[in-house]
Amino acid sequence: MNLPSLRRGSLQLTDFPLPTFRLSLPVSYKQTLHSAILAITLVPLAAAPKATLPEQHLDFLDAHCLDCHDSATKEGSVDLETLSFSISDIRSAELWQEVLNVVNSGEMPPEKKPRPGDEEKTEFLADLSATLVTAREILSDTGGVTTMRRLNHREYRHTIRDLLGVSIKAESLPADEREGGFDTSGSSLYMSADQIAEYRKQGADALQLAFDLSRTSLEMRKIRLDQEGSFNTRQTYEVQQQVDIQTRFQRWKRQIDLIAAQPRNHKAVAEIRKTIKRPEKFYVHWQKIQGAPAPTEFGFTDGDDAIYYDSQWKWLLPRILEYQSLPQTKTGVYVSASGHATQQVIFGLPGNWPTGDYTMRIHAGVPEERKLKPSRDHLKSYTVPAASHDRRFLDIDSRTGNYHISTHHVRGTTSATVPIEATVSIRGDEQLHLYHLKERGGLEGRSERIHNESTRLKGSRLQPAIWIDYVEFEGPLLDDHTRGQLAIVKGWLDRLDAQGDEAVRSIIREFCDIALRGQPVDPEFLTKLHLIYRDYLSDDHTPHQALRETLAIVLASPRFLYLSETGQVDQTKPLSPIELANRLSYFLWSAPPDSELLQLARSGELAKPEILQQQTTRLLASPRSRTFITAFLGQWLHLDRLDFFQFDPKKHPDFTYGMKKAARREIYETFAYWMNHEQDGSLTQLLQSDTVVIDALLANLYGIANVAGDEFRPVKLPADSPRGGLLGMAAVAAMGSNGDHTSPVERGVWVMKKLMNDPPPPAPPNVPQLSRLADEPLTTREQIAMHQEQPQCAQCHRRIDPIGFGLENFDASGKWRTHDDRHGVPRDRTLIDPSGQIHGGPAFSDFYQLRSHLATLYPDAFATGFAEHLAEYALGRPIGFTDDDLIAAIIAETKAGGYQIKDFIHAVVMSETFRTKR
Amino acid sequence: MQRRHFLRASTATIALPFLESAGFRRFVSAAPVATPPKRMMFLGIGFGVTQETWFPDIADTGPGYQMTEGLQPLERHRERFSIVQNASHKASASPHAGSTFWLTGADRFGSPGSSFHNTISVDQVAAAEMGRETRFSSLQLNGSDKHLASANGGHGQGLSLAWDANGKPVAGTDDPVAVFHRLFSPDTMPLEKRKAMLAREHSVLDAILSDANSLQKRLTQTDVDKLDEYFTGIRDIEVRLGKEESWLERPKPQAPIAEPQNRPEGIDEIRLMYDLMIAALQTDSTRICTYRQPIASLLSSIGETILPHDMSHYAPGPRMAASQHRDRVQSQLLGELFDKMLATKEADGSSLFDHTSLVFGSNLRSIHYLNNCTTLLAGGGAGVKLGEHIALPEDTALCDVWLTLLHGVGVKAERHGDSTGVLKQIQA
Repeated sequence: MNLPSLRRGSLQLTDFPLPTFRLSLPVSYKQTLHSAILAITLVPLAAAPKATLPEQHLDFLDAHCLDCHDSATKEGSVDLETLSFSISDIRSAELWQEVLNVVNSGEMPPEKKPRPGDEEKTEFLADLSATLVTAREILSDTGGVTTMRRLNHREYRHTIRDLLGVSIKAESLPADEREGGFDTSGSSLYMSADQIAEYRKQGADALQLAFDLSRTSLEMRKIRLDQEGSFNTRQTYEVQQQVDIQTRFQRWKRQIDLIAAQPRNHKAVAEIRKTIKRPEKFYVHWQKIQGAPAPTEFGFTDGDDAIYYDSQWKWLLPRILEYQSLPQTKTGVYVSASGHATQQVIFGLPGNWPTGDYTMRIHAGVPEERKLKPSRDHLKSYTVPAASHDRRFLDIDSRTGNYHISTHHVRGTTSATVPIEATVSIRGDEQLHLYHLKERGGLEGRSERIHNESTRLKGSRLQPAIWIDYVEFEGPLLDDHTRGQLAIVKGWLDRLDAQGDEAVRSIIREFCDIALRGQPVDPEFLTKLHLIYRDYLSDDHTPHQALRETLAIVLASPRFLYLSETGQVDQTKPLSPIELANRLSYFLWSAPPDSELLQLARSGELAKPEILQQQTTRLLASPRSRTFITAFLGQWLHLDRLDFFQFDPKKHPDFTYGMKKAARREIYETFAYWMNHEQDGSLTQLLQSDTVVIDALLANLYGIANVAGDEFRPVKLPADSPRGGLLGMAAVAAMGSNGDHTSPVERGVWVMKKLMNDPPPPAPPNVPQLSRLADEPLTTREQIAMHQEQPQCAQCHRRIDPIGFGLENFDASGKWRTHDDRHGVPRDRTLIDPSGQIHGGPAFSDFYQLRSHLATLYPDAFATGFAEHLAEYALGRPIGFTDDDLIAAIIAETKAGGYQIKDFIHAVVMSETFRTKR
Repeated sequence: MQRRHFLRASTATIALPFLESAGFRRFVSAAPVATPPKRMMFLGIGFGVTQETWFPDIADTGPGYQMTEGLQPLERHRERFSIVQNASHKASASPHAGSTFWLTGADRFGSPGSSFHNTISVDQVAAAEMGRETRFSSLQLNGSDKHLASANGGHGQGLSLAWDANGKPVAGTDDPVAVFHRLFSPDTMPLEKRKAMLAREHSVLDAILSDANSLQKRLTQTDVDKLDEYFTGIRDIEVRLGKEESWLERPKPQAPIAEPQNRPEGIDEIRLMYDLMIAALQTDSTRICTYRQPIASLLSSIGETILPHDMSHYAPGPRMAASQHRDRVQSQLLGELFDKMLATKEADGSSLFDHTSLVFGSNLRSIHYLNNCTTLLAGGGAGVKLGEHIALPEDTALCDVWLTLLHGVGVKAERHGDSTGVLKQIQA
């Protein structure tokens, strides 16, 4: 196999070389096969690409299949003799797929017949599955036709937000199918009666929200919250409780002791002492002691209950007392994963604040080291150091919704706090908005480790990690556009109130003007809507309700829901400037064109290449292009896999929800950084780079010092760092795991698909899990070596697995490691062997060499894959062989500048394909 | 009649004549039924079962088979259900979708150029015929854990188990209180108002149609075909309105169960939804029910902290134990459902169970395997063999099972999905 292969798939696409057969076939076969193939392959003489199985496999078929499946015998009505090696229609593709499946599963050839040799079978299966991948691509080639697309979920939400200034979740609309494609693919975005009804309902809800908000005062509000008051009161109460419990327990104990000392109980006491393991358990057996008082008389449910409270006293009270002895408890609160009393603090946003986004500003710092005086526990004075760097992160969770919001780096100290800023969103329908603040991972898997770190400090029972002075909420955060849209909505309502029915038609028209994104509004449609408004009004609806229901119809109409473009039969037609504006802004913003873009479209200026280029640059520079980055990268790189598995918090305590979020964000931030870079913004920075774009949290995971704060920023790496480029990112490592251990197969497949642009054929269905080996004490590498046992596995896994092994130094959470455990053997340390060979390419001894091979041998393949996916996302249709010229042009245009990311985007937008409708 | 042409000419009043031609006249004047009607019930469980402990031994077939650990809670009902092995969909390729193609058997790559394709589900085939005489042609229920992003229950794409005649998802509801009200709460709105409301709905459709028509004129053929989905949607709404109109003056039945007071989760949700389905069938409000059962909330309600997908990738250890625990609870719930259906008597003294064809299962067998799908058949509705463990020839089309059930309840479909014919082996 050649390396590197530029186009997807590693088979050759033959334009049409007539198969030349080896003469080993019996004459009769030769003739039949020859004529059969001729008959089929000669028909399409145009130079269309073909999926053709290399003719050398005729031998395989002849030797193992045609005895039973020739035209004469047709065993099981399967006739392979007339089946063309060139797959040109769905029927033959299906039959070949069937052949693949039965050979794969070992069902064919049957046991009594001669079996093919392993090597022969492997090659046959490898070529057949690759040919079928190509065949599927050819058969699904759209010939450059883009199907009109319905707004997908994301575009719908952005469009509503743009139009009405409100955010909706639209959860009741079906999720968009995007397996194996993008959510911009028109032909896959469908519509049904239920959806039409649901769009109407969602539209009405969004309108109601906008009506309400437009008439609410959206003045900035601010509130400061201190928690020490209620926190300390609760602690004081807790101390009283504990003292009370302890007093009652001691009284009970004393009475039992007295009675137990009586001679009549000596025997019973001795019996009890024999059975119990711990002396304090003695009192649980009070019933065996004659005359002992019941624990219920002292306020305990039973003996176990009493013992439990006694142990609480011993554990909890010292911690509470120590907490109270900390400095600055009168002015703030501490949180620490190690202290029972201070694991989390709750702050609440007033329930009556309007729906929207708010800034939550936390004034917090890390406590400085403190000296402890000699005490009963510890005879010398002692210094409790400040919490380690690893512990200087704060989690914000929503208590109301029970989900993680964000994790933040605490940079300040108790004497000089530095505010942390987070954004929280609220919906007006929630009653109270409560937020938990806690030390990172405190209630996940980290608490145990933190507890150990903390208790190593003899003499101190807790080492608080973070001190919170106070929290502020401020908002709502509304940009000018949102305020502007809400003002327009308010204007409509005011006019409706003042003028009644007279204003209705013009309100509907103005609404349609914005909602329909520059498309003409049909007067007949307006008239019908106006009549419906009146009908609602006559049926006990208020004018506002009637308007809401009427406008909601527009939001369920096809011209709102579809991105339609005028076309001509069998012709490629330039897009109108308005259509072009829509295509561009839905490509880069997932939202309608703004007024500047629409104005340029209306004046026709947008048709000029230099104006189009300027606008592309402007749209990319806007923060709104963020949605392009997250949507495109998320789908291209399959980042949804990050959510496939829970991470075992015991095994990967550092991979908290916040870390997963940061890891995902690293991919977006890195891409954005290079996309906006003036000179070095090459796509190949994603293959290998001397720079990472990270925040303090990731720096902590990667072991990179001196990165403080929550913003992502470029950081230069030392020469020996495994980071830099996608392969060194935690998200990529984590996607190639099951939340517990690594999956070299997933990783290898991902690299082949995304970096080498050489996707292996899809895994055959119903392959047994390797879990049959789950009990064996093997390393992951040893387990996966089982793939080489069977030729049907080996044909793909010989290409996939070595790459995955080369990445084994990253554990499931992306941390660098040198050793792995054998499965089921705790604390086993087996040195990882990352060496291997790229199939048909160079060998590598470790990860660094593998990375460098990929970076030097595959930049063109990587760029080609990127261009294909980018074009697919932008055009809203699969990229097929029809688009070879388009892709070649994009590559030619971007290669000269060293594959600058932004050049790709410009190349797509400026291409004729993007600017025309077919 | 070409659909598009029909729609182009359609106005607010054209819907009814169309409906009559589709056989609606019959039910308007339908007389009370003498013999109890046939019903169907489909319970989808997303990720499959624990294959080691749920399926009987493949060699141990017939009536006296050894009950497995996963099915043990159903032992007392052994005579009332059968386990069918070796049925699967030929085109299955989505190992996380236990429900998307379960009742359809479609090939997701069946329309070239599109990454998704589906066809009508078997419940909707039945509903097209059996739903004519009831207020609701079919009832779609969903488990309530779809909103949790991490709670992927292995059901896959879809809004319920049901897919309409065009292969588009049919909406379901996860709100038992709303279902109760739809089924049993009397309309407080005066008849005249309801009529006016329905009339207005026709005008709304008419307005949308006029917009769609003006758009259609400017499009390419591919886009016109795409827009056809929208026109079809509008037509389907018209059909529903027509049905609502014909039931306007008939009061809803008395509720046989109390109004649910809240929305329970997991195990309690499943019990409540089962009760609602029984109530719907018993009052002949509908004859077809589907329920896409919850998994994430079921697990947490039985004290398992694992998420469904993690559980589905079980290997010996805690994940497998959780999977087995879930199997037993599901069997126990199914046993309770059988009890209640047996206790629900028809006018002729027979039970609801005797007239219902019940299917419990998934397109996934176990872990992520798509062959030998989890299939449990129960109830006397479709005349299938009960009390047996039946091993079909390997890779028998699951759609053959569906076709056999359709024929059993009297819907004489020629084929369904990739069916090849009725299965004599499972007929009683």
